Amino acid sequence: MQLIANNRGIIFMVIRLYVDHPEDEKDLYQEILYQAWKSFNAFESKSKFSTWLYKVSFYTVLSFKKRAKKIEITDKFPDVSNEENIINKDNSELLYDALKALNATDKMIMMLHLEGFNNEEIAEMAGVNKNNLAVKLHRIRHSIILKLKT
Amino acid sequence: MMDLKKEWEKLDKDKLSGEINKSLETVPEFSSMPLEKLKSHLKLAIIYVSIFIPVYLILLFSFEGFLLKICLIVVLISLIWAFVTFRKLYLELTISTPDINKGMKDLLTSLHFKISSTLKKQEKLQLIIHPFSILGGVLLGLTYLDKMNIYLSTSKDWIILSLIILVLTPILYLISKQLNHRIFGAYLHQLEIDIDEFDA
Repeated sequence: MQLIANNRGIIFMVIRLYVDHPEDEKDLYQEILYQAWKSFNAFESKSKFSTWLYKVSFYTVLSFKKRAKKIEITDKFPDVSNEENIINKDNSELLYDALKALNATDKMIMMLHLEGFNNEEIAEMAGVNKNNLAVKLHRIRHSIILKLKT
Repeated sequence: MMDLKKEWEKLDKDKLSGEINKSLETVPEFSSMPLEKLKSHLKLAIIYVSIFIPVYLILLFSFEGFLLKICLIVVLISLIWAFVTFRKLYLELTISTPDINKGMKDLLTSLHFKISSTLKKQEKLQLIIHPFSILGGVLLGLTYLDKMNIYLSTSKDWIILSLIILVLTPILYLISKQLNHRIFGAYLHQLEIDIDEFDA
């Protein structure tokens, strides 16, 4: 439990990138704790605990049943001040938005890449071919950079 | 080329990895994941079947009538078979789930397979059990009311009863299929999309 507590920043980071609903955030946190606790016996000490916790967090996030998004239809025009906010955002904030807009698996791959994992480690965690991962990573990076430049 | 890692570091990590809720420090005792939901459905089915097995055994020794006894034996066999199969499915879902040491794609694929194959087996099993439970129920009711000789005395009555079973069985099967689809359909579809994204 202490190990999980020391590394809970990983759990929060994964949750924040995947869900927006505050109730989903709480449920997911509980769920990750539950899954980590339940599968702790399977933790092989040859890998780092943080790597294992990333895997538990991603597994739980990807297999979690999220609340359906509610789209509110109103007669009002979009708030122009929000658009100004987008223009005034710096690159790191735009990166955050671009990451949030990625699909679930691309988000996982990109987040691990940004957190300093090498291609081999990411390929192993994702369970995909190393060459495919390199191509995929290049594509995701390219699309994010394009978004940041525009 | 823009250095994304630098931008990532610039991101306010406290905002990203800050506390979600300080009160959530204890490990919960249950899970609301679809896999856990399916496991609790199976657990309920096992409890339901294990209650009915002794009930049918008592009925078998309490009621007379050759045909009723045959029907009760058939229902009993199907209930025992259901108990064994549901228990096997439950254990299959429980043992080594999830195996976090696997890659994420394999983990999600095995999760999808376990849920969808369990649902299919459960639905097929119900298709076999329903005719016997309907027949057993009808015969038991008529024997209890002592109206067996009135309602099931001619071959026409048996044809009608067979037709009722023929109509009710697929209806009950479709209802349970539809219920499973409502509970797990969208979730399984989302899992499929996520799995496909790994190769996209």
